[in-house]
Amino acid sequence: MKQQYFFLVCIVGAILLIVAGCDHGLNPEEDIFDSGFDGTVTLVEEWPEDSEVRMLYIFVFETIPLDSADAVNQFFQGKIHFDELRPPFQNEYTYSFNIDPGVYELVACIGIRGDNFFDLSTWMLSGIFTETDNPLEPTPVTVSPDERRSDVNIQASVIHPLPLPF
Amino acid sequence: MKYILIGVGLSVLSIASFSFAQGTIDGAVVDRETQLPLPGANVFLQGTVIGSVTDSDGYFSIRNVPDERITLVVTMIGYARFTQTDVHIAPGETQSFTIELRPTVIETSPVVVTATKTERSLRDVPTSVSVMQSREIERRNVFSIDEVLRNIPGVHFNLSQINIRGSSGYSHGAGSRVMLLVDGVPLLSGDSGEITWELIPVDQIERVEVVKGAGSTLYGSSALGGVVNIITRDLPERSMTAVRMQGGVYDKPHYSEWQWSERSRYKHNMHISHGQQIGNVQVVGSLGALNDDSYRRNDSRRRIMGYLKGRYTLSPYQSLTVSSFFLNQIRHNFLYWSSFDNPLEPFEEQIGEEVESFRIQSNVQYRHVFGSESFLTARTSWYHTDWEDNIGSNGNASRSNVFGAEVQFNSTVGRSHFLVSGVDVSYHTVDSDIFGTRSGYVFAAYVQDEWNITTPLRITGGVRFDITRLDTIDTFMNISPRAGIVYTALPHLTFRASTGAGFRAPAVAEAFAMTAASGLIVRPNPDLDAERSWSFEAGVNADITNWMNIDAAVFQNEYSDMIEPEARIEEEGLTAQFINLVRARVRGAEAGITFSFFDRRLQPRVAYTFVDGRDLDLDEPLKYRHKHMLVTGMLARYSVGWIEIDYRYLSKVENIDDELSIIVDKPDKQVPVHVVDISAGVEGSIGGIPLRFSASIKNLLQYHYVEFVANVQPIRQYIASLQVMM
Repeated sequence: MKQQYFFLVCIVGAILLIVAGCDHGLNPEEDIFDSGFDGTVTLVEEWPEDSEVRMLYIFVFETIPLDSADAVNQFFQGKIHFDELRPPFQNEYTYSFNIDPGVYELVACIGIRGDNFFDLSTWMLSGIFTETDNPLEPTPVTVSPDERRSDVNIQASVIHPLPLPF
Repeated sequence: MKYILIGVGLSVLSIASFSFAQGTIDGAVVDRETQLPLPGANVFLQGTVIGSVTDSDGYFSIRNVPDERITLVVTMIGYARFTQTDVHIAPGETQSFTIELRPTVIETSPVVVTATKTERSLRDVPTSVSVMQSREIERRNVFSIDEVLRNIPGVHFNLSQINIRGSSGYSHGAGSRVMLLVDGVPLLSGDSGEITWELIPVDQIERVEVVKGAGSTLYGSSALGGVVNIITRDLPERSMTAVRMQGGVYDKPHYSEWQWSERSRYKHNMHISHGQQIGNVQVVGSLGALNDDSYRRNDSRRRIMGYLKGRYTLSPYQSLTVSSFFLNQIRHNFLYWSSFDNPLEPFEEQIGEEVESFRIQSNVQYRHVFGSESFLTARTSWYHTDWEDNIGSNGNASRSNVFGAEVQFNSTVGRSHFLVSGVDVSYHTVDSDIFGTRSGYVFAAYVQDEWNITTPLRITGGVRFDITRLDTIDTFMNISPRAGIVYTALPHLTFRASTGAGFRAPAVAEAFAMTAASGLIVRPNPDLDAERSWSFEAGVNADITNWMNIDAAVFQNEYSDMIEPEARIEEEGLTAQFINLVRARVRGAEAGITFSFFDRRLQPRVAYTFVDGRDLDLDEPLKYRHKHMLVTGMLARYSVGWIEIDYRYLSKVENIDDELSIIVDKPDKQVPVHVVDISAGVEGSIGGIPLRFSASIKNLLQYHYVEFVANVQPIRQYIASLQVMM
């Protein structure tokens, strides 16, 4: 009988320990990023509702892809980050991009013609972030852990796209 | 042919006109120590098809007892087997018995049928088998049987897809590496090859047997990861009506920012069943309805279920059993969370999407007993599925039929050999927007010999040959051998080992699916080959004391040509196709301890499973497998009341489909699983009417977790149920 009590105490104790040590699992607060950057996307021409461009995205590339095959590889390796600008057909967007600290070679605004995001042939480069006078020369963005930039602004156009670098 | 038909007709007529001017046995089964009646005890005449189950008063009645010397047997979990030989009832005579069953301190070896296709004590089969009895299911207050299977050691789920000891990852609703049987009849759909757990009538389940490891030697394709066999209740001897009502409410999510509905979310369920015996025919039928608001947006479901089972006892040695069950369900479509900010809401464009389905399974089984261990079973079955949805611009629809037939013959050869042999055929048709118009067949033959070399040593060897044709794909031929050994070293110490092959032919959905949904284009692959496995297991079962039992096993499974979806980015976008890809190895160990304290009033249990699954081609962990699984719990009983607590732990999965990040927000949001359920109940009667009341809190800790990416599992629920029997 003593042995039974011993085992019982062990089992009940183990269950109580487990229960006491449990939190509530998935936690939205863990998802708050401190690092990243903010900015505005300004469309230099109006985005008409009958435009074949139906979606605009902010894309952040760790390195500029060499070609479309490299872009696909980087996509699967998680080296390309993106976020949709909503709702469509606005002339200006304020965005906030949460991302790990690092250097990102290209921050771009990309439009999608039609509604198939995964069809690369429908992608068009609407604008890039640059601090130079050359609208085709991207300026890398450095994200540091203790400072959040808020001036990563992009001039974009859904009517006069830039050439895709990949 | 004409003479054969006339002969068969005359035989049937002669059997049907068999007149039972025979005796009756009735009486009651009680606990020897408490003298309380024992409902649910099996009472049968050995070597015949005649038997009964005691009712809520412990009463039984067996008619049509043959005019010869017979052996009366009574079995019940938790009690020693009762046998009375040389019973003779003269025609027209009724003899009453009061049978006292002796409680056993710890019950570790119930009778199982799935491992060897014949009734054997759990300790006498060479593979690991877990059994869950009807009382265990009832106590847990479930709405669907898959809810309780999560508490079986080594079993976990990826949404509705069962996974035994790491055999399966997530196949996106196509194909199953676990065979589901209901009373021995397969229940995998003809189109997607998946399991619909809601179809199974929970209130009619006698027990669930889970065989771990390859079972293709007896059950063919899909059994390479294991077999789940749902055994339905035996038919009543007396008129009996039961009403079961369940109601529950979901709690609010722990984080207020995840709350999406202002009103409370409910689920409720009602079942009515009635059974009785009319002459030589025993019948039971049930009808049920469920409404579940769900804790997630666009995830509610409504269903109606029906069940009918009848048995005609042609003679003391022959019976014909017909059963049928159906499910009509309308459920909304929740595929993935829209974002981790709103994990209980789907993508906006999915709001309003729903699927309506109708499924029915019917089967006829004929059984002829030739002696205590020899019998013939012939069965035919039909499983029909029909669903349509409003997803996409035109919606989708699919209809499938699976027709099956099996003849199984169990016989003793000499004094030490027991043979199980049979022929199993099936034919399926599919007519679907997604899968096309398809058909296929399976022809299989199997044989297994169980050889009792000496009293403590038993060897099993068997082989099955399958020919599978799946529409335009080349015919698969497969040989699945198996061997096993059981050595009873001491009365309470048994060693077991087994090795065997398994295989799975691709499902129609895997080979021919052609659709686009949520940004994913699914391509067909008519060149798919069957996947194959080889499994090995060694285990031991021991009663350490009269209140502690240990069961432990080590296992290793080798897989080749595993069918897995592969994602690619092509010109048209993100595509997926099922291909034969993976060589994999799953190995691990499992150990469980069952206790029985204070005359079985307190029964704690704990079981741990370690699973190491690796993709040998990529040298990385297999996807959607948990390395560590722990199930533990405790049942406490006193007088007419009981309380039970269950705890389940699963470590975080080590690998998922990274490509899902393209269409799903934060698919890597995973946590270890800690789920605590608690239930309590009382049994009694008011005005002579037996009642059972129970209440449960599911997910007591309000723990938020996913079983598959971007799918939060049920949050805390409060459930109560009342069952009235008349």
